[in-house]
Amino acid sequence: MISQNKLIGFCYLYIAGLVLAMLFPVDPSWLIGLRAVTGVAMAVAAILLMRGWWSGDRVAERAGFSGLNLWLAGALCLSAVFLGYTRYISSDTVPDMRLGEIRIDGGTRVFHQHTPLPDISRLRLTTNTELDRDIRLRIRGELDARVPVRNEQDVCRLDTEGRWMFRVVRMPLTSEVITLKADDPVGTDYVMEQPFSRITGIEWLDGPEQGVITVHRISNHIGTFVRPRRAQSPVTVLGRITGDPRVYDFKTVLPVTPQFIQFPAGGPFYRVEGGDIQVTIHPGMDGYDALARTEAYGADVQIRGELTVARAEANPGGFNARRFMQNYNIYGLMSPFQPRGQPPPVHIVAPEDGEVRTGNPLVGFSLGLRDRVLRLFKATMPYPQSAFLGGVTLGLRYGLQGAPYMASDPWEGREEPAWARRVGLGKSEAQIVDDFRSSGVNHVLAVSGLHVTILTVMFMAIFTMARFPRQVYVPGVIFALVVFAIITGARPSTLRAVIMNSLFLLTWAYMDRGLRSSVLIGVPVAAFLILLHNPLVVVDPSFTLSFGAILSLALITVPVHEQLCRLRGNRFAAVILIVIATTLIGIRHWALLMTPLFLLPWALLCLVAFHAAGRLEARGLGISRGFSFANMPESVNTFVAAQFAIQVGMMLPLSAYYFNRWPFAGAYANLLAIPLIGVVLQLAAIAGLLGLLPFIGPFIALVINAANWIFTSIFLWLAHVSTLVFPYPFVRRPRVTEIVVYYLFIGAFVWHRPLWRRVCDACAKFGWRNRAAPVLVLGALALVVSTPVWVARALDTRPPGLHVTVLSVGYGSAILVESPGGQRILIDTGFVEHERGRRNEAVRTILPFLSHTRQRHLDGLILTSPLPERAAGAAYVLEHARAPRVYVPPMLADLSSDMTFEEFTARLAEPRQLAAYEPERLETMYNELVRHHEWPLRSSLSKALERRDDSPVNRWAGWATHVRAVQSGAVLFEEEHEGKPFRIEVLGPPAEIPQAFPIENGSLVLRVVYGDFALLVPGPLAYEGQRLLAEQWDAEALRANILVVPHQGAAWPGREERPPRFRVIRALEEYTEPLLDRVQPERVIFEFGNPRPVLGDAGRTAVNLYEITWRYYADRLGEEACLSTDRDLAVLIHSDGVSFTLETQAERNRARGGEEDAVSDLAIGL
Amino acid sequence: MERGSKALAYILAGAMLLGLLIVVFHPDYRKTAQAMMRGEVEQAPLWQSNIDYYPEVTYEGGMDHDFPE
Repeated sequence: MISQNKLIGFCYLYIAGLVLAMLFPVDPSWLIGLRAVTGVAMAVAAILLMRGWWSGDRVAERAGFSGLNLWLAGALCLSAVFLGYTRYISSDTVPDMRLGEIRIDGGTRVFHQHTPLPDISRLRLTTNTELDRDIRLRIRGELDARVPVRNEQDVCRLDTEGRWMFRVVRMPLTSEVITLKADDPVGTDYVMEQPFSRITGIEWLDGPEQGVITVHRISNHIGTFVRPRRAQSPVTVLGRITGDPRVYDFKTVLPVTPQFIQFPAGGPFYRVEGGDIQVTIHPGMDGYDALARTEAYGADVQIRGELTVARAEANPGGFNARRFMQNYNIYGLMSPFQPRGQPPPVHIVAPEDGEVRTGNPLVGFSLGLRDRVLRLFKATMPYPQSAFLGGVTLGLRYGLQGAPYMASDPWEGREEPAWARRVGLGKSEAQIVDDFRSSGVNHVLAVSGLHVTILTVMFMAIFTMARFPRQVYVPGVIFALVVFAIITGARPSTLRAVIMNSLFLLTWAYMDRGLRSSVLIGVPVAAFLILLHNPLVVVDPSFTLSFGAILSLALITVPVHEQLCRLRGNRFAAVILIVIATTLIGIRHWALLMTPLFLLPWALLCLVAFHAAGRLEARGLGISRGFSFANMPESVNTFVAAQFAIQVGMMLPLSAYYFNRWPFAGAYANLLAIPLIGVVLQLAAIAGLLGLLPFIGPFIALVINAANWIFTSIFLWLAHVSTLVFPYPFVRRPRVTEIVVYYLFIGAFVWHRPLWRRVCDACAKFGWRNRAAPVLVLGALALVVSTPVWVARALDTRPPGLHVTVLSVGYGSAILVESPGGQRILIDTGFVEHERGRRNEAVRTILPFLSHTRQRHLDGLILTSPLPERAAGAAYVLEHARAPRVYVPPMLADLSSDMTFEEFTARLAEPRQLAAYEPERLETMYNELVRHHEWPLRSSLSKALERRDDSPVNRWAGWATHVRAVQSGAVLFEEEHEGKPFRIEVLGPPAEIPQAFPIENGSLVLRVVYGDFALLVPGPLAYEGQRLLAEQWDAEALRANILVVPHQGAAWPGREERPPRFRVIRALEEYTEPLLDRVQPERVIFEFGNPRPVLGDAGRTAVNLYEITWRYYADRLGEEACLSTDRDLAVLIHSDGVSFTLETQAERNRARGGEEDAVSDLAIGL
Repeated sequence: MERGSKALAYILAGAMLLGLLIVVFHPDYRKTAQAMMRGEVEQAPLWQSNIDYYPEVTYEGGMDHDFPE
């Protein structure tokens, strides 16, 4: 009825429609038209299909694209593209409903209402025409307010059918006066606070003689009720737990589908029209235990708390948590809190006279089975191997969070032998997930095709052993795979694999079709089904990497295998030696492989060696031709070819695109890891299933898991050792056009034979008989195909001049200065938190930002201070980025990793001055800048600098770094651009550092100057230092358009633990005011964020200090002059040397539809 | 598929043998086997090492009927 090719084409064109919608989205108001076109096209396609089927028009189909068949193909193409396009737009937006419009014509004002309100609704008015004067009106109507029926504990009740019980109270309602301003542009929205169930009239107060106003109903999607940030009015949500509660040892996350929401507090209950929320509860809450368990799945709940939204990216190229969650239909976050003596904020509610409801029986069964298997794992496998087993077998990745490497402290109380450290069994603070990520074996934790295929093969092997016919057992295997998908969370990668494996099993069992045929149809059908359900995951890494892997395996493995099989004798040996040598160079000195000065001669040398090997063989010298890739065991050479295909087809381009990094170790670690995971997974599955047998089962599971303990330990060790040996470098993030062109070239390699044949045929057709003609044509084609790369690069330019990005790195500082001449200077490197949140701002923010801006090269790094919130990330930045010059304050001159703590602190200040500092803070400085006693493998600035000494190899790689301590009065990075000078002036520290806060006041003070523009960066200067700076320099030397507020805006006025407000204000007036008088800034930037990771309990005081300082600056300069990296996120400054412009990441997020405060037309698109 | 069945059988047999050796010689596994015999899995060293891992998944009600009293 419908050929396989048409089905495959339909699925791929559907995806093309999704991509078109991402690239060229239209306004959601077009959706009705788009749906109509889709419907018509699908109807036509269906009619044509039916007609062809009834008339038995097989001849026409075989004859190619003619007549009916051509129409059918056209209709199918159109319907697939439009279906994809429409589906994406409708999933990506929640359009408001147009109710009608108010027409003003002379003395008449008429409200035409096209559609009644379907439920309690908020309204939005939009001006459609220019107004010559303000309109003032009120809307009259009625509200059918839902009042919940509550029990004695004041908890809402459910009826016997599981429906929430309400009384409806009808009340007349008139809105507040709405003023539509004539000065506002056409299309301005005016949101009304009062909800209505019916509109009965418009009360006209004042307005022009002509005009049209559209009235919209705001959707009751849950996303329209969320508000950013904390301290919102609490709301009440009535809903159901629709997923497996994720239980951590310190919190539980509940996925909840809200059915009703009371918004705002004390307001009416709205029926929610879509979107889920994520509710986080903590163990201190009453009733926590009942919620923090799998049995809570399906329960009805009443929740009271603030409804907020996840944060969008804080810096350019950063992680957009909001978008990520919305891709999985999560639009709001609640973290309810139970005040002492108050009832709990979350209640499980049972229907009248009934038990608490449970969810879908199949899901409930699957989750119950998972818990029983997990119980077995806990009983038969030690931690953390059990966490690894739970992760790979049951998809419990959350349980791996914080799980340490198995040898985290095996030598507790004993001297660690040297061999243990050498073989990767020494004391380590590494976590399993970090090891897996760095070594490129992280994919085993994402339950995907590998796992599903291993289980499929295992089940097939078991049933074959038992002599069952395939037609009998295949449905059972498919059921088992479905249960496995549910257990592991039904992520796109798992769904893809289950759909594909099921299709393969069905075609194999009942149609006797092979694997290749099922892959060709399985991939697009699986993609279509997943994307039909949720089109937003089309760019989700879980989806893309999964399909990238299977397509790489299916398409690239064979041509790679063919090419490798051509390697014989000397040439095969030469390739092996080249691979080994390149790997060793990469391990020893990754930066060399990134240096054209090395890479080009090395590539030439490899080519010569390869050619010479062939010539020697031709003369009868060398190794036998029997030594070849083809003569290796087939399973081995196919596996190697598949690994190569995955690296080329998926890891190289997609890892760089999604994670800005490339796991170098992955290519090697996976050669062992993949066979090993096959054994681990099969044994775990068998142990889990047999362990469920009564009486004897747990003992069998114990014996099998005892053996599996060895294999899991080997796996963890392998990942850990790979991390120690191989680098995990940051790479430049490719553009989308570069990825597309890359895949076009991969496609040309995969289909090189038909491509070559077609080009030869075309050349012959045009009479080009020369043998070089096809090569020339292909070369020209390659040039044409590459054009978008060069065009994209040419278009991706920024206005010339100075660019400064003040990154949002929490409580700390990191500023990237890009000079008009192209020099890139990083000032400070943010904080690194090794415990608790393990938040490394260098790895998390600065290096991804550099990758995002497609740069790996810094011209200089300036550390203003040894304080950890400014210098802790330096070691990590220097591990990955070139920085030929590093400038430090005098107190950090001549750092070396063999310094003692006393030697280090003696450089910072005199002992009596240091007595005022918290010992932990000084220790952190020593650990980050010199070395860590307890964790010798941890990076530090001095170790990083020692690795970047002036050796010949470092010079060749451009990796040598020169450190210079600078004094007040120095000028750095001076250049001239279009007649305007650029320089970074050093204005501090002074020769005499104030006694109070010597570390803060001994920091570098920088002034970035370009033409008439200046930016002052006073680092962590305390109050005394600020006064001294103002005294030391005149107004001209200190003048700056923008001031980065000293000490993140949270300087302590004295050594008091909690300084009173008046003392802070007095310090601001006494010390800061003279500085502000000199600087005269137009804008100020607070580099503030959560101070708790940096300052511990003192963080609360820092927040108070910040609030007082903010108010002081705002009163002096105006609210709009003050920006904060906490609220406004990254701040991007551009200057042409005369004036400057300033943009914040928060503004960028708002402009892209990630609205902060708007409640309507919920646009969440890219 | 015949080859796959044989490979699985070999893996399983090898694992059972290796597992028995570990249960006999590894003190934690030995103690766990003894605790299982006594029906005191929660006292076993393996369960104790997992005490903070998915703490809501407890021993009670899960395998209590699976073990001899």
